Amino acid sequence: MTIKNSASNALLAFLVLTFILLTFPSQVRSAEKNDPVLVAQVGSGIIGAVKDQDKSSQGNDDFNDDIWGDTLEAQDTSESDPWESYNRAMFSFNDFMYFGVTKPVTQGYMYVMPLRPRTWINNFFQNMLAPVRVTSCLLQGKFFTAGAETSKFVANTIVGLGGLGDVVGERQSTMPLYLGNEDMGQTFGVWGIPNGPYFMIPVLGPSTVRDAVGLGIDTFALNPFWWFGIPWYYSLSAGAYNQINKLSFHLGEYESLKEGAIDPYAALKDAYLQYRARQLHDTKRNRRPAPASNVITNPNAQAQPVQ
Amino acid sequence: MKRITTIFLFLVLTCLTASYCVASTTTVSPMERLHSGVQGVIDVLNNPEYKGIPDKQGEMNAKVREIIKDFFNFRELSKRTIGRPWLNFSSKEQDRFISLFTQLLEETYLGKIGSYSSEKVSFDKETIIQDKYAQVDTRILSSSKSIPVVYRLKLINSVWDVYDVKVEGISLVNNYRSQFAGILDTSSNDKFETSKKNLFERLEQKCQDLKNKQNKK
Repeated sequence: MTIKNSASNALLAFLVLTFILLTFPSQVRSAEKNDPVLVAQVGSGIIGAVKDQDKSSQGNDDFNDDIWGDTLEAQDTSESDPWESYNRAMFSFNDFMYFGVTKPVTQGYMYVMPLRPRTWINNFFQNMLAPVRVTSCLLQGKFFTAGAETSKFVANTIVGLGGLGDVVGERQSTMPLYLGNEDMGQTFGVWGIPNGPYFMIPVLGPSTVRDAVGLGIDTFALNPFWWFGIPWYYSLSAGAYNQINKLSFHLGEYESLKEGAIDPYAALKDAYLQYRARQLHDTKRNRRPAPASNVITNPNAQAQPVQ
Repeated sequence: MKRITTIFLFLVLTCLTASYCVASTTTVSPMERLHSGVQGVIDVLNNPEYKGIPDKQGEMNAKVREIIKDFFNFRELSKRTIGRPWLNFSSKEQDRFISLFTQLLEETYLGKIGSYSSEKVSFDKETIIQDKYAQVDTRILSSSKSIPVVYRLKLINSVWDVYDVKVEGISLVNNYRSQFAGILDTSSNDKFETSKKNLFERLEQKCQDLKNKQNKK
């Protein structure tokens, strides 16, 4: 009996130790952190060289962007827009709504509400929407990120006054994580479901069929606002308030995109698709606040005296 | 005879390696080049001669433009935004496009440069592929957040020049290419000519609009 017991104890100890070693290997790994990069560089160099030979037979390779290995992202960005006339009409409507209603409201709100409370409110909503991100992380198999999200949620809810404060800051951990505000649209993408036709959602803006379905699930199933029998108009106004509050941090981005564009509709569509493609193919990144490299600009430098 | 050939071969090889080594050491690395370019822009922005003096903004912009033209290659950038139809542009049309597109980019982005408030730029990683393409990962660090900016450079005449900028994963070249591709119709020669004309008209119109806006300010 006792022998069996000690054996199972040893097994347990072994399992726990293995788990600990597997879970926190990043300190060990970080010492040799340059190696994978180097290997990747050399590898891509070789692949590139082979490709180059292939291409030299085809002639001009200047228009080929394959060399950077973002073919996957390019595929996701390649657009399909069968509803272009509807989308363009909706784009004009949204544009009108933005400049006529949303922007003035946001500007008024910013005038009344200083930056700090707006940050708290943003934190609160971000914290409350943790189920959306955690579910998507789990469905994509990004378990460590899900764990980080969960611990952040717990910490901020308990210590951060129900999410108003952001005591954790960026989801930090000792190991590299996937980041990029996971949602159902990205989950579908990771599962291999393509974007489908581009689709302008009234008022909310650019989307695709896949992302719109994802957004629907995020909003109506995973959003805790719908869980406790809160009347729909409260949920709706809270959502709208969240959007306005969020927009107050991003005011001017749409304007600058539009300002430089020859065809604002196409520019917004492409920007949305590229942004989503990058989110979808986010690689594991070390979420420790990376220190600035030693090559850095000096912000206070002055020009050499003009001769 | 055989010996002479061997010696000759040896000499040729030595010369080749030597010239290769010299060439590769004289080229400034992509990151260094980008660093000095960006630092140059920041230097001008911080120059007390211009900083905060409204009358001098025009002069400052001209200076910034000059520095940017030095490490950006607008010909390569224009070529890539048009894509393959570029080969069917006459050299005159190419030059016209480059000047218009450069103007458009300058008018768009120089207006925003005034909002610079001593953010730092960290140059994180340099990757060189095929000996003539390079990617430099940078981050703009402000007190509250960091924005990833990726530059892509090409070795042209043994100098590394920027041909694309990616901010938050959105590539400048790709964004404009998708717009121009919607305008340029390559299905037939006639259609191509008319759509090209249309493209130039819209570009000119846009530049004019941006200039008017700048003047109003």
